[in-house]
Amino acid sequence: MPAWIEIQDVRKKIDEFRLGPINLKIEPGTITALVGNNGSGKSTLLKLMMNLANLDGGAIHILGKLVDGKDESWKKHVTFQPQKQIGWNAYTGDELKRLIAPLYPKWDDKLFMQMIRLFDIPLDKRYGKLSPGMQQKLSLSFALPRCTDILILDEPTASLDIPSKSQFMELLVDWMEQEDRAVIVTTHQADDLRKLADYLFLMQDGKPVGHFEKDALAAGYRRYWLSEMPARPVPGEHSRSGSELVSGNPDATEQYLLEQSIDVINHKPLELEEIISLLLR
Amino acid sequence: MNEWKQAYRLAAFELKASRKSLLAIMVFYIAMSLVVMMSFDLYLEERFMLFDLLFLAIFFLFPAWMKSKEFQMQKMDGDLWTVPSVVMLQQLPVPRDVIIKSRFIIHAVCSFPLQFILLAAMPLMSENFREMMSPFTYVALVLFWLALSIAVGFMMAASEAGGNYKTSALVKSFIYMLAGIGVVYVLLFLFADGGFIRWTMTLAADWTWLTIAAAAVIGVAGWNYWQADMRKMIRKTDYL
Repeated sequence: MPAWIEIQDVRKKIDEFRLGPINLKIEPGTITALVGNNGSGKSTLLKLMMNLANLDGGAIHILGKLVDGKDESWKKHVTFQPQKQIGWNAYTGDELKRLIAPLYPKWDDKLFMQMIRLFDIPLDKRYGKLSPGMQQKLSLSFALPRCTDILILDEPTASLDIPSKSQFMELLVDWMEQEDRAVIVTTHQADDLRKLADYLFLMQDGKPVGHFEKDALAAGYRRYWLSEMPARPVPGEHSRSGSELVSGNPDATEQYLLEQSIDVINHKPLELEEIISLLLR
Repeated sequence: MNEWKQAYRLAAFELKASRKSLLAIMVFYIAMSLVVMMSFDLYLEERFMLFDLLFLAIFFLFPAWMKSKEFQMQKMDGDLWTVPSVVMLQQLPVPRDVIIKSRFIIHAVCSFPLQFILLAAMPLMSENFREMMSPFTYVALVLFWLALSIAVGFMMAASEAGGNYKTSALVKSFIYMLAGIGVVYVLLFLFADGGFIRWTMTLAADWTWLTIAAAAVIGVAGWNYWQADMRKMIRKTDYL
């Protein structure tokens, strides 16, 4: 299936910060999480996808259309929720609905009202007067009902309380199952990654670290407690400390340990957070 | 045509959300403007040059200041200066040309009523003016000033696209702007005998058809130029 989003050799310089070159393909029916330390360029990349800034090099295609081309029709198929909504402060939820809903042909009013009730959001209060958590809930309530093919969420659950976070994740999973859709999400929440993501795109200081299938990544790292630590590096070894060895290639490691008759006292897979921390170190 | 319809909907949406403060500020500015217009007769009689500057400031700048804070140009993250609505609308499926048109409609709504009142106050508040201008030449003058409103005033609407500016660049351009105003004031004093308003009155009275033709050219050129300029600025700016 052709990619819905194709990012080719994208580069952007902002003062001293250099993003890219980034290459990434997003396919329908997938949730991709952009993961990286603060200032790694995740939000910038999302804004470049929305053509909110000029590329210094490369190209971004969404549904086959160049985002910085003359044809802006691709925007109808994309929902973008930034970390902070700009320009919403003066409007109430009711007013925002009157502005936003008619712009999307597949607007799902039933889902919108369901989310409003679920999160208990007052629609008659100005957005700027709501608490950060309420603002995020309202923002999310405007994201899913647009029912666009592509959903781009920049830290969607950062200000949410625990129950709202899990309610939103359930809604998002249901929403994904309705049609072929693609979601790109940036998050620092391990829970979001575990429950939602199919793919992880790791970034560090503006550079891509790798694009991984989540389950394969999770299965690809193991921690071993050994009876004795070999002096020479072990195949697949990522790091070692005392009798503890972390491997990024368990098959190769285990084969080597067997050959060297080194006993494995215990072993267990690494948590996703640990793997990400290792890769971003 | 469809673009204008969509632009009108967006403009109406913003104007409605700010109608209370917009009306309050407009009434206050109109009252202030009428107080200034009380000196119009004095200006026509005795070359009261300061009136020219006051009138030009009211005519061109007040409309841009009429909007409430949330809808005015402001500093966003980093070195980005823009009107928040421009960022908001770019994140929605709204073509850039529609965004531009909506900003122009909003500026027209903020500027034309005040400017009509200022122009209507001229014959109403000055006997000298009534003596100098016939109804026909007055119409030519009004058309000329409305064309100026588009050619000069709509720069304010176009500037809402914003840009990425360092503080030092902003300070520099502010100094240039003040210097520019000073130069214009001196030129008016030296070359437009009796001031700029009086000069346009003479133009409308002595060269009525030429004034009307010039108004049409200036108005159309300004209208097209500032839209193209705003399009270029939006393309150039990084809304990060």
